[in-house]
Amino acid sequence: MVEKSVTPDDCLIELDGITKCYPKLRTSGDRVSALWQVLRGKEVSRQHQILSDVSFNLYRGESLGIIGENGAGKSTLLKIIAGVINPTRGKIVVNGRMGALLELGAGFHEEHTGRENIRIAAGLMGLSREEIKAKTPQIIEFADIGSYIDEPIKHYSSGMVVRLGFAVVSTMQPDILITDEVFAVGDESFQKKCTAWLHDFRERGGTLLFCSHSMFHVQKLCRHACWIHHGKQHMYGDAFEVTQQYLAYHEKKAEQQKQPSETNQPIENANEYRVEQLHLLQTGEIVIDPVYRLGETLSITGQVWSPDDRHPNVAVGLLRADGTPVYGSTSEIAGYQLKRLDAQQYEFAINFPDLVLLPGSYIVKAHALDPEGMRLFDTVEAQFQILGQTREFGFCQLKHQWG
Amino acid sequence: MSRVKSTKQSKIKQQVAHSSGFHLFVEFLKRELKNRYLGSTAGVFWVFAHPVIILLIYSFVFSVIFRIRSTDFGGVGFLPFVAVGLWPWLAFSEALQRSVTSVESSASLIKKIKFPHEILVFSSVIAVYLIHLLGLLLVFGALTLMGHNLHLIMLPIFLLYFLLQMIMSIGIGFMFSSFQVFLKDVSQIVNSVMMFLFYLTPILYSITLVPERYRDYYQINPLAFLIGRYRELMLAGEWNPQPMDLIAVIASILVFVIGYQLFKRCSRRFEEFI
Repeated sequence: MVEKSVTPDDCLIELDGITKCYPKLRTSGDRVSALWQVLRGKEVSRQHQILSDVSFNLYRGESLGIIGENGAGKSTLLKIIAGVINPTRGKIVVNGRMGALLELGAGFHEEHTGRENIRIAAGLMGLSREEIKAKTPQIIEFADIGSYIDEPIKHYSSGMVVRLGFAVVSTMQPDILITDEVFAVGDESFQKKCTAWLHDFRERGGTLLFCSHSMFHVQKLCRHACWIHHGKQHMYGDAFEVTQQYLAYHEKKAEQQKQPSETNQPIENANEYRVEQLHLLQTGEIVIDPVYRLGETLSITGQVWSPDDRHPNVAVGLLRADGTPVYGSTSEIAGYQLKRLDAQQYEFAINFPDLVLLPGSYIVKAHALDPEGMRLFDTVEAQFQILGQTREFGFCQLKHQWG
Repeated sequence: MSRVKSTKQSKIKQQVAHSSGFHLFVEFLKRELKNRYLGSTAGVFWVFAHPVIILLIYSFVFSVIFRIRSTDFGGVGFLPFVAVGLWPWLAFSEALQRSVTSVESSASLIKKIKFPHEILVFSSVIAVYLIHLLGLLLVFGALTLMGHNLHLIMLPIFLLYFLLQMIMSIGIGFMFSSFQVFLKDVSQIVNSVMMFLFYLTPILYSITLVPERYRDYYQINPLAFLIGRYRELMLAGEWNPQPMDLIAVIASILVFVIGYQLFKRCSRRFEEFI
């Protein structure tokens, strides 16, 4: 991300003490009294608090990820920022044009054609008549749904509706893009288009505000993260710090519940980036289920298949046999480019010299990633053993000194 | 509390948003017209056929079966007498019935997208008025061709009163559509009240047939006043504005302004109750 000096003008969103309550409506009497209170401009007396006292500033070019469990209030917060709903208390200042990808195709009407719906949807986003006229061809081109554009939306597949929705938002060139976990819309080829567009958007200095369950995306795209827990701003700060705390919280919770935590699920598809081979090498030779000793070098090589022959990325992770992650990294993080062997075939190699892993069984996992390092595809695993005689515990030998 | 916009840049954007608000209204209006009338095969035909059928039925029942005398409604034919009152009435009652549920039926839009909610009321009311205005003009044309003497020269003044009626309808639409969000019974009540109001408004009969002691109650029915004016203008070719006309203008605007204020107050909270 490009570092910029921050001036007050660059503050795109300012949230101060945002609180949102919803009325408790059990009986029709509740509704009557609520109407009376609203008409008099008073607060409804019986309320649930969904969000309380959320405050942060979002500066130009500094993307922010909002994380938290389901029902924590993330979507409500995004809707408040997008202006769809009003906060019960608190102040919000927005500078700049906002594009909300909250509900793709929400303003669409079944009976109308794609073209007519573009006009309404773009109008709902605040574009003027002239702007809409000028941008319609661009939107149609991006949506790429062919002659369906002049058919009523009711004949569309759900994927086509989503494509049209994304096309409208992407073409309006927002300063801030608010999204609710919609990195993966439509089919694989359209996802690629979305990813490329998002990359471009950020290159141009666009600011992203999104909520996600994918810590991977938050760390990759955002400088800051905000953890909303039970409607409260539990933690705000550096994306890595916040996401790590959040993951730690989940591990703790999973341990208590004996349930796996939410993770980044790889996408399985025959026509996508995939790891074709994964080998472990011992003294330069491929060995199945190799055995290493402390201090030796663990070498991993493999091949990744790229459907469009662009340079793919790869993620490699080491895990304990019980699934506990030890370490992982990606070629994208390291800036390493895979070697092109042949059309669509790419090779990678990674070495872990001076192994500090303690004796036990381990797993190597390799995932294919797209060239943007955004989407995670299949998983290939291999196993190895570390032998040795030591009474130390844990899973790796940390440098230490007694005394 | 509110979304405060600062800096010059956002002032410009607000103006842009204002002009696109009008554009959005036009799109909603088109959508409303299309949804209602252009969906079915015969489309536009039904827009006019429905009121014409009503008109013919009334005309049969009253002039053939009840054999009411033409002196009971000022000496003009029964057809033009009812026609002049019927279309404005249909516009009023249909506009109200549609606008009451206009906000509620757009729940998904309100929950997902930021837009000026008042567009929903404006577009639903104005669409109905446009359609019935067109029907009215066609019927006036047809009646003239049939040899009835309508004072078409008074049409501009007629349209001013019709506009006044529309402003009042929008105001009432604002009120009831926001109440409907909180209390789902409002639309049921409106439908029943419309049934009463149809017979309590001198549409099928002349106000002169109403016994003296009840006539004062008709004064509080704004439609009775308006339909009286419509008839004087089109059937007799007379226009005698009185203080009552000024009161009607002020009252219509007041209903609009109050309705709009109520709506604004409620619309911030629609999403919580819808």
